[in-house]
Amino acid sequence: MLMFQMFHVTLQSESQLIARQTPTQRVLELRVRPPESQKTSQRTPLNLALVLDRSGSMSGFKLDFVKQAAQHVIELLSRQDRVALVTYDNTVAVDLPTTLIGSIPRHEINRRISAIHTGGYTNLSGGWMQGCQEVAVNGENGKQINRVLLLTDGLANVGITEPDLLGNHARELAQRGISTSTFGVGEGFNEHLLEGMANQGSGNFYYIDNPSDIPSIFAREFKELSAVTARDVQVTITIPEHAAVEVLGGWRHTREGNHLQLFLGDLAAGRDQEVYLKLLLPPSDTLEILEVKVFATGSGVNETDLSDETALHFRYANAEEVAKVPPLKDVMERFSRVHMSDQTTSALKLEREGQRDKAQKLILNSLAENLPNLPPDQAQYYEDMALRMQRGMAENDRKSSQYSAYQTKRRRDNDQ
Amino acid sequence: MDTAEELLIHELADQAGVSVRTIRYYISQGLLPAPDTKGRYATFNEEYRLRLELIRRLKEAFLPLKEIRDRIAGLDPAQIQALLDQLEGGNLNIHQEKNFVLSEPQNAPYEPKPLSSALDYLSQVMGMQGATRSRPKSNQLLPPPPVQPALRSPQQIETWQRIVLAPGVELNIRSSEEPYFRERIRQIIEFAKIQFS
Repeated sequence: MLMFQMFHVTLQSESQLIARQTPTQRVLELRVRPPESQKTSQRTPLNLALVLDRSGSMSGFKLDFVKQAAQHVIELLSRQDRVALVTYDNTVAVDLPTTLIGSIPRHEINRRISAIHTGGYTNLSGGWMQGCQEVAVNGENGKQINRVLLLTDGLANVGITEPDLLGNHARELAQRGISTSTFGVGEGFNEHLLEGMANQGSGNFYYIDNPSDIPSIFAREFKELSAVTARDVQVTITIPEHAAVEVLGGWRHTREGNHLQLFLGDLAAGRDQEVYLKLLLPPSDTLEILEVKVFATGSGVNETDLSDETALHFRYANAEEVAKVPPLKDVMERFSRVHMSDQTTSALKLEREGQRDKAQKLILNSLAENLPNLPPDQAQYYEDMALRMQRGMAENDRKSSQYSAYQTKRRRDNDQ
Repeated sequence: MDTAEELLIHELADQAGVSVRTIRYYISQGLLPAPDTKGRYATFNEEYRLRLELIRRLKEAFLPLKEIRDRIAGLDPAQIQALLDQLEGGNLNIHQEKNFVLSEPQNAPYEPKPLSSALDYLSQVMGMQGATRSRPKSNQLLPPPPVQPALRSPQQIETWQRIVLAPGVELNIRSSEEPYFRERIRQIIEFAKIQFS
């Protein structure tokens, strides 16, 4: 029978030779290819909660665009999908408890969306968790995508407000099958909080500079959700003894002994997901080969099981011989772009805290390290950014620079 | 051994009383062999059910997963059945019987912690927060929306000068920059005087 699952995991490094005498640093490029979408198969049902900010700052045209976006998402949903509508200011309101789309007239849902009005403070955690709860009520059958779409334009100032704590909860909920995507509108929200929640929550983060883009960004998230062909993708990497490993790009992961578990969430057809790791491989007098093994699993459309495995073998050689082999340039360039983006996120946090000199130095030092791998326009981009950091950045510059780094880390630079 | 019956992963999970995730995890950790794939579905025969049963029994005997893996690797279905029978009859002391050890433990795979359900987790967290599932009252008096505080923490606050150009119109200047822009700021103030007078 023809295999059309095509769930693939591949590994690549800039060079597979490693030194006998000294530790060798190598890049590991992991690529997961979700199955192609099947015309005949239905998409996986969605179990969504729209969690919308109705704090005072949302009033006026911002709220109008949010309502429009919510109504558009409702139009796109099919009868077997579920949706809940939660709004929050100081208080949290369930405007529509989790509901099967086929069981209620759409104009009734739209009526409830129209009735949303703005109020006071921003209880982001309360609204978000209420949305998670709505999704969780029907979230355990394993046959659907459970996701909360959390939109805000401001800072969490009621309820849980610490970014790390909210990130932890997002991770715990993702482990329990409920993912979170975050949407930050305008200049008033905390981009590091929202990116952290999406990274830990196995969802996506979006920066919406212009409120009139809210409907199209919601539509993009919907499009991606409806193209998911590999859910809950997990990759186990077996690391050689005495090797050190570092995961780039903010991906959720756990490490136990020699096993590194990476959680890549839901992957949409037509787009490979690359993840970059930095390995420090031990020297050895006796070994010939060092093996890195990966095993990837996920759930496919119609509850099929997906799995694939592969291994990469590093071969020991004399240091002089290793030095003679040129690294693969394209692997190094992709790695360096992601590496620079990680450093940018850290530098932007420093810049926001007022540590401008530190931020600038971090960018310039990382750039010096990655310069051999980067094209000139990239080098220029980071030099300019370092200069702006030193002067102090404008709020929209901070947010668009962070968003651009996020997209590079997720390898979404080419998304429109 | 009857291998005619081929199960899908969730059928196997139901029969063995474990979650699909646990089965995937055992496969990833080498406790179960990678399954056959018939068409688009991975299929599992009776042997998997036996292996899962044996793993369960050995876990009940507080054997760590890595040891279980090393002990049951390479056993054929008949050997597994024999072990299960022995365990059933209480004839086997797991912690002394090493006859079926095939290799010494090497790696230390981890075992995922059993998770509470999402709902339990949420009710615990929301309970701690004293969260209320309230519906807004239509005539509820809300306090005025707060001014967004700066994102940075207090010890990192910079000093800014605020110049009111007109009622409701302000110019903010970071004090450290003020000397560099003094002349241009003065021009702006002059210009504002004309504009807002």
